[in-house]
Amino acid sequence: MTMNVLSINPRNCDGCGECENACAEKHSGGQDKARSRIRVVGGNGHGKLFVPFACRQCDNPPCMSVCQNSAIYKDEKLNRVVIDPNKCIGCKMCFSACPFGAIGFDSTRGFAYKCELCGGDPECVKACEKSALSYIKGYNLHYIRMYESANKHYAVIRHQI
Amino acid sequence: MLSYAIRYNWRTGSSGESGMSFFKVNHNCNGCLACVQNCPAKALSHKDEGSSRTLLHNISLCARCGNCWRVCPQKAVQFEGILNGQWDEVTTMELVHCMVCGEPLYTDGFKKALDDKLEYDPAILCPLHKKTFSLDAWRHLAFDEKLSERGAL
Repeated sequence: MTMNVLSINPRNCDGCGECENACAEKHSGGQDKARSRIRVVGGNGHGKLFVPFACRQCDNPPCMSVCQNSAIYKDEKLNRVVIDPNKCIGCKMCFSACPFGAIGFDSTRGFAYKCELCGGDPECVKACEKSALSYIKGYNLHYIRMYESANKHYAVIRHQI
Repeated sequence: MLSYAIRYNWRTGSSGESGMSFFKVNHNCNGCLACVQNCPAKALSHKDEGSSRTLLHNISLCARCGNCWRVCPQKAVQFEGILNGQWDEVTTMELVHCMVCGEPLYTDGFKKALDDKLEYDPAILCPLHKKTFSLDAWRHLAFDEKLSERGAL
């Protein structure tokens, strides 16, 4: 468990969209937010709740199991799932299979793309000023979640007393 | 009707049963085969069977040079059919739409292929509504002071 994971905490997210800009800047060279691999959903009709969505680098990725040309593989070193654009034939199977809608499709170049953690140095994390995004060790995440869960539990109990 | 399909029968004047015909001749065609003689790509041919002569054309050999049209003494070749081709419908299938917004996602055959490869039923949603689903889950499950303060829940 020495690999880092991209941790997303919607509690801190205010929907500024800087992560989208940074991602689009890194991967498409321009400020074309539509090409961003991380997407902030929320706001409009959802109150002030904003949740950034990016690939969760699943242990048993559905995109990998549906790929018809074995273009998706698991990079154990960085604990990420990678699409090989040279092998991708653009059939959109992964795009349709992903339960989180985290895979995008580049119709001009004809292949699917997804968050690949910028090779271990995510730009979105550097751009996030509210620390809603962090790139941390998996076991640290575990304790943060425990701490948050305990706090939440305490809040519930306090309301009952 | 001025133009006839390639399998124009000189005797009966009926066009052939073939649905797709790029090379067309009108009723002036008398079957002299000048076009067949002058086709540099050998895309034109003919067959004499019984009492009828049939002019044949193969679009995959045709270089679209227009020589047949140029040499035809009867001005019978309707070359526009080759230059202004139409879109042929190849196949038609049922569509599957996003359950929320109705955006067309994929065909039913594609869905079957997905179902065969996945252990669970994939949600029939567009990428945006897949995300919105998770967002709603957050809204319902997350009890959090920080979010309540901001009026997010």
